[in-house]
Amino acid sequence: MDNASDENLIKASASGDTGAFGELVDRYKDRVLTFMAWHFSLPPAEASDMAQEAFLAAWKSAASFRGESLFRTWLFSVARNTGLSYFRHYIAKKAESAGLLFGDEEFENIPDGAPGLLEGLEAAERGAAVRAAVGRLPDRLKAALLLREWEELSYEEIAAVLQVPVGTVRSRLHNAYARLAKDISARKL
Amino acid sequence: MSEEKDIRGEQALRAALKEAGAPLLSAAPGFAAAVAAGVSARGRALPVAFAAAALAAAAALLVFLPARREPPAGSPGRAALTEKFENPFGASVPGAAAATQLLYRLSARALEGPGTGPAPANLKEGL
Repeated sequence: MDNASDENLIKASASGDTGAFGELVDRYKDRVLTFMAWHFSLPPAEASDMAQEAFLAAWKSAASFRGESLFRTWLFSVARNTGLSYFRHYIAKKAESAGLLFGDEEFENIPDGAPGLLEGLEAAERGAAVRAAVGRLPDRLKAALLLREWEELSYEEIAAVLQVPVGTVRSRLHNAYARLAKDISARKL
Repeated sequence: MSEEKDIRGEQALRAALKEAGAPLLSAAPGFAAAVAAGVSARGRALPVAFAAAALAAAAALLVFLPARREPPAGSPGRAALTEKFENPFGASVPGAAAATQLLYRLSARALEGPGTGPAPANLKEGL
């Protein structure tokens, strides 16, 4: 079971194999929880409830996974749709206010010193600085970053998960890098 | 030039992000168990719903289907509770003979035969 691919596990889940689905929950619980918290700007307890709902929705619709995309692209899409259906009204308001804080279409400049920004730091210090800076990013940028850098989805796959144009994904990621660089450089001074 | 710097800066940051790893939130210890409970509850919900629907259908059949009782073999048949009226359509209703007479009387075309005579002006008269 440990070596089985995500795609095989979800197919087994569609046939009612609860063990296979449990393995998927173990693999993805932290990632889905983090995605819910960041994408929908939810506090951890609410994000946890929503993540559980997302997994139940995935179990219910396991048969709809046809293997045309990566399992994680499908899972994050299910998670996003679950969040939207539960918090449609709440999130619309939230997104509206978040949109006032940063424009998706507006590109921010990455500071000149960014390439050498983390030079001279030990790996542990670099890691801590980067993780802290990620933590200070706006939630929406963090969610895009999670899908791109750690889930390794393509721009097109992220656009499909978040249901936004590819250009919006590009600008969100670019702005995330720009803000990270500014944040790290400001704290280094 | 500025674009090139942006790309180099982005690459450096991406490498640092990969190295640092995702600052993921940690699911509570009972998370997987809660999902498993939800999954098994949903698994049980369907058979229960089907069983309830089947019971309801069976109850409806019992209520609406007329009981058909056959007399035991060799037992004498019971006398009918109502007068049986034999008509071409096979229906048997009490008082059917009187109603038939009235219908004959209402038919102006019937010149002779049972129930011939003047059609009543008032239908109640026939009853």
